[in-house]
Amino acid sequence: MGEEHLIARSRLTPVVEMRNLKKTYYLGEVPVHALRGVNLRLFSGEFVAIMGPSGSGKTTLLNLIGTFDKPTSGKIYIEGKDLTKMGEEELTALRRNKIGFIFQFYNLIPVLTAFENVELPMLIAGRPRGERVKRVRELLGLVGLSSRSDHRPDELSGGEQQRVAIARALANRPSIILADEPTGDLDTKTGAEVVRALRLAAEKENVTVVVVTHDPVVAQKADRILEIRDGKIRRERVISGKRGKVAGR
Amino acid sequence: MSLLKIPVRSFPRRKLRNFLTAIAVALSVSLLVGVNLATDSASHAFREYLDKAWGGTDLIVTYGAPCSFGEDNLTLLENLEEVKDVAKRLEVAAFVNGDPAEIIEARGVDPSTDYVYRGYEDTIRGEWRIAGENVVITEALSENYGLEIGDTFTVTTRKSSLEGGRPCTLRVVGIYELAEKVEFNRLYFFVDLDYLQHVSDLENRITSIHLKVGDFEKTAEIKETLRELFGSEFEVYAPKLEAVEVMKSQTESFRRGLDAMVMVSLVVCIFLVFNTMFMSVRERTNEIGILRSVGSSNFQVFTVFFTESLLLGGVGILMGIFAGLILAKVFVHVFMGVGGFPEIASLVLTPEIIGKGVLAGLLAVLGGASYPAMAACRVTVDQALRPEMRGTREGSRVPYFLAGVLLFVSGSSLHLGLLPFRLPGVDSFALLIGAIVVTALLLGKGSDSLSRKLSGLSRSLGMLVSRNLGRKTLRTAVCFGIIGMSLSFIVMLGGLKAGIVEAMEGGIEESLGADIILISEKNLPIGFTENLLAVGGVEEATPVSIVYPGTKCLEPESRSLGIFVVDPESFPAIIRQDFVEPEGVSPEEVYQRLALDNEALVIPKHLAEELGVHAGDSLVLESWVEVGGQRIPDNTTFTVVGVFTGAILQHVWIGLHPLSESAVISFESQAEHFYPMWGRDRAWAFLLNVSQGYSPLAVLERVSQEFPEYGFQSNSLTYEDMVEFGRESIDRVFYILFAVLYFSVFIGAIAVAIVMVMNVTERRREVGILRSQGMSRGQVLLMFLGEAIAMGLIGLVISIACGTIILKGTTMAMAFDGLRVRMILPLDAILHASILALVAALFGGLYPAYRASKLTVVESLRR
Repeated sequence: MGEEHLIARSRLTPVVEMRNLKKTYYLGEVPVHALRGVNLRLFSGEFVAIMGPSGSGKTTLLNLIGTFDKPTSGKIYIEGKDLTKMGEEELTALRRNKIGFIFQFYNLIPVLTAFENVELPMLIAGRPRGERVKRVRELLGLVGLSSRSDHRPDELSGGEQQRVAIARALANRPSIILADEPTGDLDTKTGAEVVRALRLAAEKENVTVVVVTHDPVVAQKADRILEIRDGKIRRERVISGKRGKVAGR
Repeated sequence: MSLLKIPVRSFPRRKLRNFLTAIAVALSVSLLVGVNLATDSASHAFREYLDKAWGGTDLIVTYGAPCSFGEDNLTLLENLEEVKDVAKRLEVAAFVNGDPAEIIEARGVDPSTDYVYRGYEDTIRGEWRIAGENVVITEALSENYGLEIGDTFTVTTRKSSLEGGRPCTLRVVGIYELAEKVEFNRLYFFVDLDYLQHVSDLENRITSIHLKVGDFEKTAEIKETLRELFGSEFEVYAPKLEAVEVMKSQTESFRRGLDAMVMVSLVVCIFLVFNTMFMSVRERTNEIGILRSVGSSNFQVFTVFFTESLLLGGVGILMGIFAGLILAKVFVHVFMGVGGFPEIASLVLTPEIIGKGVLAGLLAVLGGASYPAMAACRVTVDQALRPEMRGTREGSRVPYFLAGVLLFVSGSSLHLGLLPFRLPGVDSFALLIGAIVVTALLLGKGSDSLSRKLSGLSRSLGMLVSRNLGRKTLRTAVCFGIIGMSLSFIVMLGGLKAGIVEAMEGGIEESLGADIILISEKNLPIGFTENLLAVGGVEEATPVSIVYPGTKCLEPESRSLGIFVVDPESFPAIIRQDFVEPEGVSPEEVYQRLALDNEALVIPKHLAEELGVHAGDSLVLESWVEVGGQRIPDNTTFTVVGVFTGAILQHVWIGLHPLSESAVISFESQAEHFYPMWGRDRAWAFLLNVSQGYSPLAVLERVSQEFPEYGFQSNSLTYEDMVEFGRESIDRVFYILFAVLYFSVFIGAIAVAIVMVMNVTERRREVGILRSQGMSRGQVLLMFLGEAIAMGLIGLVISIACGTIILKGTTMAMAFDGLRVRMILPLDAILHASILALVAALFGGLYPAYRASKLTVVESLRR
C-alpha cells in the first residue's frame, strides 16, 4: 500500500466518514470537549488503529461510529447514510446489520455457551436456524475454537473469550468492526494471537476494523494508525509491510 | 462512631428495593390489623345489636305454657345476688274483633316493676303508664289498624272467637316506636299484667320471667343456678349469650379461614424480606470484608444487617397499622352485607390489635432477616475482599433436592390424611415449600431445555430468558414461590367455593322439600288448598300448621317440643321423608296411620335419639281437653308410629324448634288435643310443588297476583330464593378470603419487582452488550418482562399442582368434620389464578423492564 494506497482510497466511497465531528459532555456544570472537530474517512477492508492517551477521545470516537452516542455537532456517515438524521430504530438496525463490536473485557453473555454467544446477533437479526448454525461453525473454526463451542464464558480463557467475541462481531457479516482495547486484558502473547485472529478474520470477511489501543505492537499490525489527542486527530501513519509513511494533520 | 450508623445510612441507599420491601411488610401488618379490627368491631357491634334487641334481658325462664312459677321461686330469684332486675311476663295471642285470621300478641307487663318496659319510656309517644283497659300499642299495630292515641279496639284473648272467647275493648294511651327494627313480630300491645291475667282466665299465671344480670360474663353460671332452682320442667334461655355463641360457631370457620389467609400473606412476606436481605448481603460482601478487616466481630456484622432489617420492619409496621385502619373499613363494608349484619358505628384500635400488628411485622422481618444476617457474619475477610476466594464450585444439590421431595411428599401425605396424624397448617406449607425447592433445583439444572418452550415468542429472547431464570436460582425461587404459594390458596379456595355452593344447593333442595313454602300474612282455612291448586303451574299443595309455641313433653323426658301439623293425605305427596322405623315402611303407610289415629305422631330420628324412643314407644305430652264447653290442661299419651331421617324443612323454625326437629301430627289430632291458636282447621302455611316446566318464582308471582290480600310474595320462600341467599352469603365470605389472598399476590408482585430491579441493576453491562449487538429497546423490555412472566407462570404451575392437593385435603378434612363437600376441579379458579399470575408478573416486571430498556449502551458498558 503506501502512497498508492492514499491515492487509491481517495477515489473510493468511504465506509465511514466524519465531518467536523464534535462531542461535548457535561460533568455536572463543567463542559468536557471530548472531540473538537474530527474529519476522518475509513474505507472498506481497512484495519485502522486509533492511539492516544487516556481521555483523548478515542472511545468517544468509537462510540460515535458505533451509534452508541450522538455527536454534539458535525456529521457522521456510514455507507453514505447520515447517522445524525437516523432515529433510534434505524440506528439499532444499523448496529445489528453493519457493525460488530469487540470489547476489552470480552463482554460475552455469561449464561450462554460460546456457540450461543456467536449465534446471538443472528438470533436478534432473525436469521434462519440453518444459516445460523453454519455461520457459527464457520466463525468458530475461523478463530480456532470449534472444539470449545459448548463451553460457557467462565470455562474459557481470556484469549478464548476474546476470540469468541471476534466471531460474534463477525456473525452478521458487518461492514465495520469496532474493537475497544481488545488486548487490554490479555498478556502479550495471547494479545498477539487475538490480533492475528482478528486481522485474519477481517481480511477473509473484507471488513473494516477500527481498533482503539494503547499497545504499539497491536497498532503495528494495522494499515493505518491514527493518533488522537485533546479530541483531535493529530497524526496519521500509513503502514505498508515494514514501510510506513507519516501523514501529518 | 457507632456501628449502627452503617445500617442507618445504608437504608436509604437502595431506596426502591427497601421501599418495596417495607410496603410488603406494611401489607401483611395492615392485613392482620384490618382483619382483627374488623372482626373485633363486628363482635362489639353484634353485642350492641343484641342489647338493643333484648333490652337488658340476659336470661329468660319459661315453662312452655302459661303457668304459676311459684311465689317461693320468684322471691328466691329476686334475692339472687347476681340478678339485677326481674320482670314477669304473660304473652298470649289476641284476635282483633274475634277474627281468627287477625292475630296479634298481648304482652302483659307490670309497668311499675318491669325493667324492660320501663326502658321503653322514651320511645313511647303519649302515656307509658298502663292500667286496666289502657294499653300501649306498637307503631306497626297503629299503622296496620289505623289506631291512634285515644282510639279503642276490641280483641278476644286466650281462645278463638269460634270457641266463645271473651272479647274486651281496649283504649290506646301510647304508641311505642321501636328504636331498632329487630323484632320479627311487631304487631303487639303492652297491657297491664293483672288485667290480662284476669281477661284470659289465667290468674297468677305467667309465660316467662326476664332477668338482667349484674355481670354478662357470669350469665352461663347464673343460667345453671336457675336450672337447678326451677328444675327440668322449666326452660332457661340466655338469648344474648346463646346468640353470641351461635355467632361465634357460625363465623368460626370463616374466622379460621381468614386467619389462615393472613398467615399465608405473613409467610409470603417472610420470604420477601429474606430475599431482600439476602440480596443485600450478597451485594455488600465487599463491605463485610472491610468491616471484618478493621476488626468487627461476627456479632457486630450480624447487628449491622439485623438493624437494617429492623428499620425496614419499623417503617413497614408503622405504615401497616395506619393502612390496617383503612382496610378494616373496607372489610366492615363487605361484612355488613353478610346475613344482615348490624351497622358498625366505629372501629376501635385497641392496644391488643396494635400489639398483634407489631408482632406480625417483627415476625416477618426477623423471620426473614435472621438467616441472611447469619450468612453475613459467616463471610471471611478473604472471601469478602477477594472474589476469587468465594469459590465458584457449588456443592451437590442432591441433598437439597431430596429434602424438597421429602417435604413435598410428607406435606402431601399429612394433608391428604395418608399418615396416622395431622399437622393442620404446617402440612400445606411443607408441601408448598417442598414443591418450590424441587422446582427451583430442576430449573437450575434444566433451564436450557426450557428455552425451547420459551422460544415461541422470539428465539433470542427465549434463550436468554430461560438461561437467566436458572441463573440466580434462590432469588428466582423465592419469587415464583411467593406467587405459587398465594395462588395455591386461590385455586384451593376457588375449588372449595364451587364445592360449598354445590353442597349448599343440594342441601337446600333436600331440606326445603317443596318448591315453595307459601306463607300468608293471615292464617287461612285448610280448604284454601283447593284455591291454590286451581292456579296454573301449581301441581300439588298441602296445608301445614304448628302448635304455637310448641308444647311440653312430660315423658320419657321433660322438655319442650315443637309440633308440626300436617294433612296426612296430601303431605307425603310433597315431602318425601325416609322412614327408618318401622323398617321397610313407606311414608304413605305411616301417614295413613296418622290419619286414622289422633294419638299418633311421627318424629325425626334426631329427636327420637334425644328422647330415647323408637317406633311403637309412647310420649306423654301436655295437651288440652274439652270439659263442659271449656278447654282445660291435660296430658295425652301419643304413640310414635314412625321415625324419619333427613334435613327436610330444617330452614323453617317454630319458635325455638326447627320443623325438621319437631314431632308431626295431623290436623285432626291438633283439633282434639291441642289449643288451636288460629282456630280449627286453619293453616299457618302451604307447601307447593310446581308443574314441570314452571319456575317456582313465576308460580309464586302468579299466586301472589291471584291473592294479593295475603302478602304471599313478601313472606314466602322458594328454592331459588334460598339458593340465591345462600350463594350471596357464600360469595361475600369468599370475596373477603380472596381479597386477603390478593394481598399475598400483591406481595408476590412486589417480590418480582424487587428481584427484577436487582436483575436490571446487576445486568446493566449485559444490557449494553445486547444493545451493542443490535437488540432493540423493545426486545430488552420483552426480555426482562419475559423473565417476570416466566416466574409468574412457574408460580402458576406450582399453584395448580399444590392448590389441587390442598383442596383435596381440605375437602377430606371437612368431610371428617361432618361437612360433605365434593372436590370439584376448580377450572374457574385456575383461570382466576392464571390472570393473577400474569398481572402480578406484569405489575412486578414492567417498571424494571422499562428501566432496562431505557439504558443507553454507553452508560451500560461504562459500569
